Amino acid sequence: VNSSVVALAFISVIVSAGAFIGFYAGTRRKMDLEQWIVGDRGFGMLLVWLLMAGEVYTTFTFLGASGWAYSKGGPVLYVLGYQPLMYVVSFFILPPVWEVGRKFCLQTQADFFQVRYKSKYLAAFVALVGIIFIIPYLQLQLMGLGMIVEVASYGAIHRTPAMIISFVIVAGFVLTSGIRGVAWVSVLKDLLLLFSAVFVGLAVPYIYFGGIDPMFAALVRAKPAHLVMPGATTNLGHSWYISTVLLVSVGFYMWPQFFGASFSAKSSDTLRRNAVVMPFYSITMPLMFFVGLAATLILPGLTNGDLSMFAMVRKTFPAWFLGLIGGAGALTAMVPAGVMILTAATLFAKNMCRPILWPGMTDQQVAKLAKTTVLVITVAALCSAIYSSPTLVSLLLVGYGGVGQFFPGVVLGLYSKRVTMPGVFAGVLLLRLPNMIPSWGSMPVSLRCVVTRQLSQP
Amino acid sequence: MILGLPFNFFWLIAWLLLTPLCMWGAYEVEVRHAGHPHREDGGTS
Repeated sequence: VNSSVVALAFISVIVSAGAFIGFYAGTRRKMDLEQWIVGDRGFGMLLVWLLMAGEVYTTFTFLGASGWAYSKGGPVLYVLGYQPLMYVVSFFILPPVWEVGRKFCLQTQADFFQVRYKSKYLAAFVALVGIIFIIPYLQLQLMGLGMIVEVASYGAIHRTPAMIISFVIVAGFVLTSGIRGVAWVSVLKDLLLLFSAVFVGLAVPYIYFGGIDPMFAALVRAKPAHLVMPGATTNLGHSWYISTVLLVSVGFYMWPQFFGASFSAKSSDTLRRNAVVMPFYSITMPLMFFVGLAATLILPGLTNGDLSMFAMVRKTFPAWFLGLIGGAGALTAMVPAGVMILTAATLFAKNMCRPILWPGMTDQQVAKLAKTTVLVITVAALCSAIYSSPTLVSLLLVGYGGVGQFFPGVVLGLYSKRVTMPGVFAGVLLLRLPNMIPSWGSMPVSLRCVVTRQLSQP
Repeated sequence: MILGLPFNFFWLIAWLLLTPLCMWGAYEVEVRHAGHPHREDGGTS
């Protein structure tokens, strides 16, 4: 049987199983706004762990991690720097956020800003910024999914139809099952991802080099500068490493979708215990690095480093195994994408439309508008993924730069009464404005400094 | 090289395992002090 048919069959079975779980999770439950967005605040430790892991370990785990190890070398270690730190941040921030959420029946991040700073305009602005920066993250998942399915099916299915089919399924189970559907799809996704990372991450070094130790010895002989900063780059040195680790550590849980996931927990203690065990999942990342580093020696000269892991699997294992990894990769895109679509749609309907445009909307009308918005956001993300092609990590860092600005408003808002609405508003507006202007990045640095100084003056 | 890994890899991977241990200690402390809230409630109270 043709290899592409075998691989495509495995991908199809896994994606179909994920879709079935997603749709089934929402049956026999009344899907009101509270159930749809935060699962009636009833998720226990295991479901919260799977949901959070579903959102943290995305297509980046399969593509960007091994891709950066392949094409950049040492700088990829920033991932191992920020991951333990961000869980420490979550340990101290998410439980109090959950307490406030339960007390005031909050469902979104913007709800938190509205209650804390008593301003519907700040909440609407936070919702707008959140949506703007969710789109590139969603685009990242879509592009990753397209690349994975195209390579894993030996090119039998092009990335554009793969993205469209998968995201129609995602929009479908988000509409019918909400966050509960996403959480249950995470069960399958995480099992497959853990298996893939551990098996491939250990097998590839053993098959080609006889172990991890000989692989690093061979790498040091062949490319001695690859494993130290700035690796194969010229500009990603120690200052970049430190600033990126700090930015991502504090900014990670400021993604709006993590607030919804946190509110779905049944207690603040669930979130604390979740933060304690989450770093264990990060052990998948160095295993992905091993595959990328092995690929630098086995498959030099790949045009797209992000595909190094799949290129290695394709070279090393039979077609059915490539299909299995491809199906797992597709689910790693679909799970976080589901939460992001759900979050962006809710922010739009609940925190932008209801308070500003139609104050008389009922919860049922908000739910109906949010479900319609799910379709609009899915189409918008599909269009941006089909018609643009930045690298995966650059897309991710654009998003972190945006949502990281919520950190002072959330943390200082939790622990101090002195923080005011105008201060938070000005902070988010002035520091995030440059990220929202597409042409900003192309301005000369000196001009950007002048503009920033002018904007910062009272 | 330590345990077959370059030092920078070894150090960062070691902290993936040590972080849960440290946080487990922090969790125990939090649980013990659960009856004595020390956090100012911000403007949300």
